[in-house]
Amino acid sequence: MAKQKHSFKEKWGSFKNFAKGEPLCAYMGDNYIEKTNIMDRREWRGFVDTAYDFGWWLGTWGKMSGLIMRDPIRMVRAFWRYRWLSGYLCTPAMVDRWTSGDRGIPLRADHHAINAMVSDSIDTIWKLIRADRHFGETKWTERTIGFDYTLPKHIMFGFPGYEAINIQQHPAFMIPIMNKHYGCYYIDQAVSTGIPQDMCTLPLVEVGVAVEDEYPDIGNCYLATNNPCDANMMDNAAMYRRLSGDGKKAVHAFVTPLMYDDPTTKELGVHEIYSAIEFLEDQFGQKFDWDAFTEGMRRFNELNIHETNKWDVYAKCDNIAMNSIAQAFWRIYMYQQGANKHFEREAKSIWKYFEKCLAEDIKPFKYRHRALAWSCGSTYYDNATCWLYQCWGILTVINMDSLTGHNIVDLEDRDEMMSDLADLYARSPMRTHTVGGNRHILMMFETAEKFNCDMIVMYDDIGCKGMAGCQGLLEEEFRKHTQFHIMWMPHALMDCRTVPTAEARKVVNDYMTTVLHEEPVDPSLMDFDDSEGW
Amino acid sequence: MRDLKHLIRFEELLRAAHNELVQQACAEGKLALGYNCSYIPEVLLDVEGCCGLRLRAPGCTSPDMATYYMTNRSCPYSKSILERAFEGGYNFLDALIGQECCCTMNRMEQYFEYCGLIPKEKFFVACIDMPINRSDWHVGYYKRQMEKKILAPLTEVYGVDFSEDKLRAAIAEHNELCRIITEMGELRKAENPVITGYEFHVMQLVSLTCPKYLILPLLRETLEELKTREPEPKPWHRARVMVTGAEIDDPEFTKMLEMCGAMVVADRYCFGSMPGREEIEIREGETALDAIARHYLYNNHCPRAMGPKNLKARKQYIYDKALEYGAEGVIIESMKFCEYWGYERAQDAAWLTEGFAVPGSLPVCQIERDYTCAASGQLRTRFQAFVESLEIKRILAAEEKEGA
Repeated sequence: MAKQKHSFKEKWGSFKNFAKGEPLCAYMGDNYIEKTNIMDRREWRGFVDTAYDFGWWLGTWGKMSGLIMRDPIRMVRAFWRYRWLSGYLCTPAMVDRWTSGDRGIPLRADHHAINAMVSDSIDTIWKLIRADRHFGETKWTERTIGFDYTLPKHIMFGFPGYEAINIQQHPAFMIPIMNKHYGCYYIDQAVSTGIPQDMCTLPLVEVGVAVEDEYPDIGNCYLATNNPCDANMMDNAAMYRRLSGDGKKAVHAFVTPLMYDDPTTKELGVHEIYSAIEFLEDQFGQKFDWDAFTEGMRRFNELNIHETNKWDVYAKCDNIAMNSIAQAFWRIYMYQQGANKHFEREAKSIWKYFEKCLAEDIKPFKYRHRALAWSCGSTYYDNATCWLYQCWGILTVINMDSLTGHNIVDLEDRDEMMSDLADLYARSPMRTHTVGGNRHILMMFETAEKFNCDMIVMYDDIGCKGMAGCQGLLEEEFRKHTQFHIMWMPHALMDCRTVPTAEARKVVNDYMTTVLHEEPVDPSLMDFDDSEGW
Repeated sequence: MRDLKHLIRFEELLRAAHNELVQQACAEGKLALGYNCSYIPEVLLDVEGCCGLRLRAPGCTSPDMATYYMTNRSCPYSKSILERAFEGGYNFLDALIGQECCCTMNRMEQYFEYCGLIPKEKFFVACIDMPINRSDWHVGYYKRQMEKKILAPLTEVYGVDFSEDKLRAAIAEHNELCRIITEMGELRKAENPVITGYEFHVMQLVSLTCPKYLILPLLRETLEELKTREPEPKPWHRARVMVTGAEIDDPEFTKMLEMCGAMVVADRYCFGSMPGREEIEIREGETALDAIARHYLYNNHCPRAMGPKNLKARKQYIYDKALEYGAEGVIIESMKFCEYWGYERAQDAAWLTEGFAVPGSLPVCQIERDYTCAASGQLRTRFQAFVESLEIKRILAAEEKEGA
């Protein structure tokens, strides 16, 4: 149980505040069960917001139950076979972490964003399981194919009747987000095959799932990619046998240029899209439907317009309706999935909250610093930005991986459309700013300026070779940009053993106390042991 | 065996990047063009008036400056090259021809410009975007990248002539060098070879790091010497191995292996001759540049080439070469922190041991190594154990044969 260290008066000041759940500092750390980041009861957000939040919590459980009920026998067999699937039982706890500290409008906007992701995840997991040969062939088996999880699925708009699934997304990428310890098991499996442990841990988790034969067996072909980096490209080789059924399925490498903004490489990006389409036409025996594709891209453009409108708000004022984590995951998830009903529906709801904030000049976040988060963030410490805000008042306005694939695709001219699509595919998360030349990583300063930030949180993924290679460059550039407070925040992407979350917090705490001489907003969050938490 | 006449001279040439022959070439007005990756067509850099030099950092044991810039979690090869550049070891370079191929190497190459490491006014770093897939279309793309990123700046800045005649002349010289190195390499196929793996490694390295027109006469003479060289009365080695993997530009590595009793009969690693020393064929209707692009795209077995065809071809290549050169086992090495070879090593080992997608299986020893021959004690123990295991296999196979 948690140890209550502060009295009601210290926490809330008055009953009125308690009723509204208002002060940013409510000594939230007091409520954590010892050695975890799990609260001993639901977060108190005031009467109205707690009830609102509880409604969504019940809704999440309802959706999860609905997934089981779609085919209870198949789902139970899937739970029995796939270790990763049990991680999704932690989804409600993930939602709680992602909305931690939210009140009023952000709570509502964030729940709508998270709802799109949860609903889409449930659909995706269902599509995986219903097509999975491990539980028997169905009419969906051949019509559902795997894409590497870093390969956006937009070209599938042109193949109505077929489904593409980013096959590592739910079995691998999302797993430490659900429960931070889950990644470690799969990393160990990958390392047991001889791959060095000092690699980026994300591809290691992907390979570990393959080693354990825990990828659903779907479709007759698979699309690999070189997105986003060298390690992720190489893990395709390590997973080849498993994902191709020991060579029985056709595999196509859908490549994007590394120096993507160099005009001389544009032709490669376009060529690779046409090659992928040709490959899929051969596999499906179905011609690419340009009309369906154009319509899909029109819908995706609308989502991107919503997104860039929100960026305008983030950049120019404080009427921000979403918290940092919901904003970040919404963006990356929506980009990857393309347009679908969940995101289209919720994008409109979210934008209404932004409009309300703008119209009534509501400024939901009472921050001390506006921060840009740069480089790749941790998955097992997905809610680090919530902690930064609650503990230190650092509002992460935007992060590097949100600023990807936002160009609007031309719908009139086919050549122009393919050219724009090539740009969209090449500017994917974890890649846009980390490959193709130092100028991309150095865009952090102009971005921080655009978003009116006074601070840059520099994620330091210790397994990322691309970022390790430019450490000195960054240090030197930091010294030239004294208008920003810049601090490192270490992590190991998917492996909470290598850099524990407490270590990441310690580095930030040291910077905030020794360099900026600031006092925490909520001292109970400064130092706590969550080594056994989720 | 009697020592080779030029071996000591070759060893001397490998002690520094700015060796005696490079100095001579620079004094004769040649442009010194550095490169790091096997995807950069060295023949293009050896066109008249230029010499292509693959960069090494011999003796670099403590890359402190480079570690500041690239951390202690980056590829030691890239860091050592950067360190040597900070030390002024490449001040003679007129251009560095790089590539966005491996991210770490690319970062290192960008530091040459960012830190202003080369004190020459006209020095520049060019960077090509390498195709990952392979097809005739990609050959064309590769060629266009060369034209725009290598030929155009070198012509513009230094007035280098890349006309068809000049390129054909460079190919002719390159092909002669390849013929010599290949002929030397094939001597390793003999049961009791007249050349050691170490000697071959040294000669392959000088062919990459010295101006071609200056090293060719020495190599020609050495080949003639090898043809009449008397082998040892009986084979000196206990086992024959193939080495595959990332950069090995330190012949001491091969020497250490051979001191453990394992003769290196095939060298399929970066800086090795397989692939790399195949002659460039100009097919009918092709320009010299077409032939260069096709040759370097298809004759490269870098793990970055994606897709099942390339994946299987790489394993098949190792298997075929091991059989062709009579290797009893394969040592697969990866440079520490190398993402390409870290994955490829594990896959090669699994496929070759199991015999997946290749006609048979091969004994494999996997190692991870630093740029220099540090931790050689541990490596020596591993190699000795591997050699013993190969000997045991041979004995058991012989006994089985006798029994049958």
